[in-house]
Amino acid sequence: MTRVVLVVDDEIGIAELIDAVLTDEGYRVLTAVNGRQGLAIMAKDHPDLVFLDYMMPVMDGADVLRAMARDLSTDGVPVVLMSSMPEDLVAERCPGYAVFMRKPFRIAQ
Amino acid sequence: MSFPEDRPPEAANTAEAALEELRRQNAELIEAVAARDTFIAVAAHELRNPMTPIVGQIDLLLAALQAGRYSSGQVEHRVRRIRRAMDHFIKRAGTLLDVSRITSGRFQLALAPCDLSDLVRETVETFTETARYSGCSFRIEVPESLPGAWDRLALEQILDNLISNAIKYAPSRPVTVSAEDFGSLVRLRVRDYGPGISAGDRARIFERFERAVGANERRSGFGVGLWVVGQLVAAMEGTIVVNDAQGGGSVFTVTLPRYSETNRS
Repeated sequence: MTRVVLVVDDEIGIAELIDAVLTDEGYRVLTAVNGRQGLAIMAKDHPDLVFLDYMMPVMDGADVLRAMARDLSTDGVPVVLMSSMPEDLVAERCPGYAVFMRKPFRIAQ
Repeated sequence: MSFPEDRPPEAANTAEAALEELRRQNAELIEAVAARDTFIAVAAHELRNPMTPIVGQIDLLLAALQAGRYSSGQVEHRVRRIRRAMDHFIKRAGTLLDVSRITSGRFQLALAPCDLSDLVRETVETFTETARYSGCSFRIEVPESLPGAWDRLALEQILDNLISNAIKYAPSRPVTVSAEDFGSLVRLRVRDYGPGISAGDRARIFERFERAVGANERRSGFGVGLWVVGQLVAAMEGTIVVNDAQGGGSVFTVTLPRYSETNRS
């Protein structure tokens, strides 16, 4: 069964890059432009993994993580949190992410 | 030998006033240095972000070419994405440069003949992919032609910032960009159908560093974008206002003199 990955980022370039890499690897990649849209896609498509940007308009990464923790269907879905800010500045507001990836990152990561 | 307390009272008052002035200037300098440091942090942060897709797309292209996996069409597709990412980077760097030119007083208008209707159409065109990604659609309301003389780069920067914000804060909604001819004036409008801007925020959004970095800052985009817009509009002797739009959302209205190359003093 094809694994589903959701990329939530307001920067089209980041979403396209992750999409290109993971589609090549055989994943089905969905994208969302902000946290609210991301949560709606999670409820509908139940992704196996979420790449989540920290700074976004409308609803940011920290609010998404809190909403995911409150929902049984999304609590436990692994999240790769992305930010150009250092991890120690964002970690306090962000409960439950699995991996932190600092921007700019390289594909090899 | 003379001691300070021997000075006449008016001299002591003058010295105290000078000292107070020095303290005030020192406080201002400390504040200015802190603002500069904050701006450098904002700039570094915002210029790092667009590098990820640029470097990533180049890595992907190199890997695919080395493995002999790409057709010429796929190479072109990848190069186009690199080009777009580069354009995005150049825009952000341009905003940074404008801030530097404005704050140092070196900004000068470069007036040249320009068709505002064409400029609106061309600027909107550059957002095609970004708008598609955000689920936004554009409605352009401009006369067939609206000639005049303006600083083209400054106009592009103004429109670019306003359209970019509309897409960012009102995704999945339409954005209307319009230009109107009022004889010696022209009016540009960018209208979104988003959540709108509170009265308190409306009063502050053109301030510098309004959305600058900080541990609690969570929104992306240059914190100085609307400040730059305000400064550029002022440099062109125009005005900018933001209002609630009828039916929801916000509308940014920029009114500018319609220069000719000869009527600019």
